[in-house]
Amino acid sequence: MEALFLNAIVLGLLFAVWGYSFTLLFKLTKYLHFAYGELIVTSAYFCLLGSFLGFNILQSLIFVIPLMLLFGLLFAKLAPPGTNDHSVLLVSLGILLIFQSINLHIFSPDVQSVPLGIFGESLGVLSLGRYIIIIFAVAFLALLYYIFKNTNFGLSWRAAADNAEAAKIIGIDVKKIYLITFLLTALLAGFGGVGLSYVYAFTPYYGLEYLVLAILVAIIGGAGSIRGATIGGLIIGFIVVFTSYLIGALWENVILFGILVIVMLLRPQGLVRGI
Amino acid sequence: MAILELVEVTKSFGGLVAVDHVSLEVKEGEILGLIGPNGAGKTTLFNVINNVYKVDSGRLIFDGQDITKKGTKERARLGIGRTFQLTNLAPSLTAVENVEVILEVARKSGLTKDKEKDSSELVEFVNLGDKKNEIVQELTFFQKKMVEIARALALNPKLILLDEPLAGLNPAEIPGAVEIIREINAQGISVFWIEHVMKALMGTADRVVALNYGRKIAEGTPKEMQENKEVIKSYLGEEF
Repeated sequence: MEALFLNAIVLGLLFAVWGYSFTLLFKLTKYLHFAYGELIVTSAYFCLLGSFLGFNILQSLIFVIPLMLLFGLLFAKLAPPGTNDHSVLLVSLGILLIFQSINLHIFSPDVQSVPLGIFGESLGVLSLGRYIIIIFAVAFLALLYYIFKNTNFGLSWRAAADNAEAAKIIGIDVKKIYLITFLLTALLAGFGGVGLSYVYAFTPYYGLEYLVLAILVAIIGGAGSIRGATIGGLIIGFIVVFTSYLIGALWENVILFGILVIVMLLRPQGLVRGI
Repeated sequence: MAILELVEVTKSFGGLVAVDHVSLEVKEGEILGLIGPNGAGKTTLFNVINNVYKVDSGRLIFDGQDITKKGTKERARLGIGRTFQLTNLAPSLTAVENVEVILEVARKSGLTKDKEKDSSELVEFVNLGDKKNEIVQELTFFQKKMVEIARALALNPKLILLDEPLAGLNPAEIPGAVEIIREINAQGISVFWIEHVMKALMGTADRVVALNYGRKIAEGTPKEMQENKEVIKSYLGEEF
């Protein structure tokens, strides 16, 4: 039981990071970027590649980080400020397909998982890797919360997210903020993928699943709020873990989407408002 | 000395010429009014000054610099403040935060070298001291307009563009708003002011420009404008 509880927290925090970074992008740009999930899965595949080369998951960060930043830059260039929604949908779907195809080609559709090495060693109830996830996730969420609430950059960001046109007219560099946000989102997705490799096995098709999960977290928790994403993520984490244990994995999605429907009926803005 | 000069500025939307070869200047330190019936092109003119729209032809010169090719952000950072008819604030931020955002920009662009303003002070200047930590979305229309003005001031602008600041205000609120505009001008900031509330504008502006169908039809002191046949015709029609 303790194991279930802690695992739920691990997954929950991981989902929170996924959900938050997705809504970070969405809140600023209003883009529903379909290729977001691909960043998570591809990052996990990079860890897999790393393991072939002898890197453990943490060491793989050395090349995961710059590669994710590169992808973020690419995504940013493909959807500059002011791109209309239809274009973004098409472009992001295109990117999704490209990423998926490349991953399928290189890694095949088989389910893969990354060998954990020392990170698989148990430390009490959980393995070392999962403790690391908790630490990183909490650190990120806390840092981001601080930045958005207390720094001038955070303020300018929130102003641009609220009203990009007005932000430009008062002199805010909206283009720069877009770029930084894309990079940040990609970076967080990268960490999300690294975290993924600690807990799940995956196939190239899972990108879409994780995208949906991220959107679920965002909607249930409250779009754009860190506290909301954290709570939403934790709720979903608990549902996933306990459903699997109590009823069976098949019911996971039923319950998840059932909760989504309830939230949309009763409180469509999500459970938490604010930053 | 003109703080802002427009030379043959033209802006069309497809077949509609919204601003038609308009040339005018805002003298440094003055309050220049801009009047004209609805659809005359006044807000479009402001939008062109801010680079919300790019000019089709003509030149814009601000403080001696040709800004025709400059982007929105650059123009703001040179010291052009702007308010909007239907306020254009960040709805989820508080009043003080909306002002704070611009202070940051002002700092970065070196506009606050001589004196840095305090966001709380600015909010108090527009008489919203007790509301400064309220989320802007929850303020009344009048209060939002005041936040807009405070925000434009935070830039430490040399010129402020006011787009119908008195629109939607009831007669009790108007004198307060006009007083604030006077005080802004007293600080040395040039004011370019679109207005329909004639009594307030004519009583406060140094000079007035009138537009109709995108063209400048008259220019002069308030008294001259009130006697100008073209101006009267544009508002009241031929028969008068």
